[in-house]
Amino acid sequence: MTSLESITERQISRKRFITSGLVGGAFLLGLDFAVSPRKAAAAGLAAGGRVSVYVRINPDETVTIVAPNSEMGQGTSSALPQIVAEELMVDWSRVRMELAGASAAFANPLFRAQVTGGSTGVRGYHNALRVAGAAAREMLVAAAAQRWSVSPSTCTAANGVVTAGALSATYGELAAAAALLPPPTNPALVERSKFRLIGTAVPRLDIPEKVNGKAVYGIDVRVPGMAYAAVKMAPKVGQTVGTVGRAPSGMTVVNLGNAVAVVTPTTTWQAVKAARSLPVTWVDAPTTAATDTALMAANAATLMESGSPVRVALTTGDAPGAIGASAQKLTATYSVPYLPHATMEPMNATALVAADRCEVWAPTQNQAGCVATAMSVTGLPADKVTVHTTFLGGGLGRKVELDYVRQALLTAKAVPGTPVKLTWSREDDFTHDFYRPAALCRLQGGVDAAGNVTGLVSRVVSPSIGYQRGPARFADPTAFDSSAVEGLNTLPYGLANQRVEWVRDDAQVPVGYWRSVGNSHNVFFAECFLDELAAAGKRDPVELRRSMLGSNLRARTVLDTVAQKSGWSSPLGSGRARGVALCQCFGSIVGEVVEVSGSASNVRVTKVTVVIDCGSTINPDTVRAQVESAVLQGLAAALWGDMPFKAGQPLRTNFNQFRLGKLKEAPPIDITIIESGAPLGGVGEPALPPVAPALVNAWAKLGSGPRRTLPLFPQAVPATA
Amino acid sequence: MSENVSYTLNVNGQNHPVTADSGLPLLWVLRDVVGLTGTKYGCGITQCKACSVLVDGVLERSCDFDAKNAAGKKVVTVEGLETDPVGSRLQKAWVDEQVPQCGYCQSGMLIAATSLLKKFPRPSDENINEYMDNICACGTYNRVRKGIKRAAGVA
Repeated sequence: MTSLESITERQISRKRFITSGLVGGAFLLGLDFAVSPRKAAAAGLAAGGRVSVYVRINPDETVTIVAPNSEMGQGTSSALPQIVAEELMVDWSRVRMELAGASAAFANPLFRAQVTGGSTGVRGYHNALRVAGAAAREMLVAAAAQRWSVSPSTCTAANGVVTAGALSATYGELAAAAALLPPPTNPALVERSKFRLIGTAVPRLDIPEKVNGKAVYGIDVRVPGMAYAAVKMAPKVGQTVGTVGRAPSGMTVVNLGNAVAVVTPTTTWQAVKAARSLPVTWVDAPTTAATDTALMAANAATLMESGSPVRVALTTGDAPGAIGASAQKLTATYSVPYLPHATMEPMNATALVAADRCEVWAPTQNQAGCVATAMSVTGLPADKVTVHTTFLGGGLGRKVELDYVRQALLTAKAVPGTPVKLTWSREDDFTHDFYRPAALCRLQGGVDAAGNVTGLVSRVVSPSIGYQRGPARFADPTAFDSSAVEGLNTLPYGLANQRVEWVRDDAQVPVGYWRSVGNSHNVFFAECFLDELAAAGKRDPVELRRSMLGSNLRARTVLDTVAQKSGWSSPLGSGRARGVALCQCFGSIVGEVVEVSGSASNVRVTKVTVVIDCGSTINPDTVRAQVESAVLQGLAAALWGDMPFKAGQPLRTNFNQFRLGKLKEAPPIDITIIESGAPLGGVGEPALPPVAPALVNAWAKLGSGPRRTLPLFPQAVPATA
Repeated sequence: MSENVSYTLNVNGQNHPVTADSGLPLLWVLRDVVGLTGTKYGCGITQCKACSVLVDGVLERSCDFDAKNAAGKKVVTVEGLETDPVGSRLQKAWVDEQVPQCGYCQSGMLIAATSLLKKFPRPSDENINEYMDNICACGTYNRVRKGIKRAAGVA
């Protein structure tokens, strides 16, 4: 991998920067400049926002484009270069990709930080990358025009070649001269009707190296002179290290506060074995024993009753009054458990800490946080910290966290000058997650004589991801954690009377962002309860939803399409049924119909029909892949997923105790993408939330009775971890 | 600490002298001693199958396979598939079907699929269901099935 960090940035005007240089025989062209306020407004960027793209034009006329955010399977390491390549006018077959290390220049404009999450990769970078790709193309054209002493307007760029009449020059021939030109501030974008690449299912750039074993994930990093580290982690939530036994001969032991690292020059396996047999005593936190599934469930039930203090996330009309005046009133309580991420690649990071510099190699969704963590651990300034992003063997929100990066840095700091790769065991990974919060939800609804929904009140009791990270803002009694209520306060329906309440549960289980976050449980609550209301009012679930969509035309089209594609109105044989669910999140709208076979006591998913309106697509095949992925992850979680705790101890430690679906269990998934032309929506997460409620709603038709608790088929709970 | 032992491992047709901890699993010899990191650690207890390799043509889970017992045998990892007619056909099918997402489990998937096609050159869906027991958290299963069928030339 070529180090981009070895290139110096040059300020070429007050607000414009360019990086250029000869790298391995290739010219590198980097733009990092302020866009004009007009252009910025048109592109949805803040005025003066910096745009950057690193394009390397190689002697063989291939073009390397740096992907600014992390690749964890979602495909943005292709989709983002695809956007640049569209504007740059290069053939896809000549495009190569490089993963960006940490740099403020690569910040996601939506977050203003280099963080991958929230289904924002394409949404966040799209406008900036188009502007920057167009600027790079105009610089190549300008270089050609200069060379030929013609007006740039007489030049055309296509397929990596600039032509003017009989004259032509390849990008490779022009790159050196282009690199010295000032970047334009108002580059002309390619018209949508002329797109060659955007909206096309081009092959992903990361796949070839993922089928020959050459893709480098964090766990594969090999640095000369590297040592291997493993950790012994606190077995219970909140525990800290008491005493540590002597390091085995030839190894170094490092106290990390809530873990002990063992460093060996030999292999990860020897570090793991040594960590396992190292004697360490642990000190409980005051809350350790209370971190227990049974105790936490009882406490959540108490909080539900007391509602103290309630924080109101949404109120429209008079929901309690409307429900009170209804012909039928329903109340139901739903719940979901804590969930681990279980990424296939366990947490790991490699770090080198020296007196004057620090280097980190990490499978991370959070380069910005890696830099900050390295600065805090080493005391070095930002310009002495280099972060390399590797491929991620799954992220799912877990690799936004920095705990494992901090561990690698602290361990490396104890052996200055020696790079250390610190790898968690699968057991460490399962038992030291930032789990999807457990949530309890009571819903109250009213139905009138015609079966219309008159009002909806929901109260969620759940730990708060936001509170665990920054309690200060919750001193305001009106503040609420949007991740705790999203999915309920963002229903696609135009309910005249709705109230969404949240009660914070201060359980001490570390919680974090799990694919689709609050939508992963709140859409389950809302969409199942809606089917309960439909049944009470003797209404068809699709027809009732449709009647509630009012002016939400996008959602209505999605619902109508999924009903049609799934054959909703065609009868099924006995022992078979369909269920529907709808959600809008991350700027997209998704409708799903799950078809099942089974009985009152057992159920099997036989087909899933999905319709997604994500505005428009960059790569429709990647959209499909993400839908397939979200559906199967959502199904596995709904059927089997949980993390129980006993007296502070997380009880599931490995894949023999935590079930993910297998190939033979994967149902066919029929996917329709609607390009409504709405602003770009997210794709990685939105297809996950509807699958659990659609499954439960289908099963209810087979006489399952209300299934208000996930998972539907809890796996045996190990007595102890 | 157990004793070091020395042996020669043949991996993808190349001999590698190894001196390592006597009980060291093949997975860690491949990754940390030989330096072939395509074979992945996922669970350490033969559940996820990300560590799958072929040892004398037999599908093995290298996280629980004592490396010294592979001495004198032919070990094939994902890095060796391109010289195997079945393996390379599968690799191409994986690209054609755009199978991998995060890709972490795919080395194991491809090794398992190679083993499957050597046993069942024209596998039925049932053969695929029974044989492909690897865990993929990205949910690439339907594409894995299509990839196998494409490589095998079955509908």
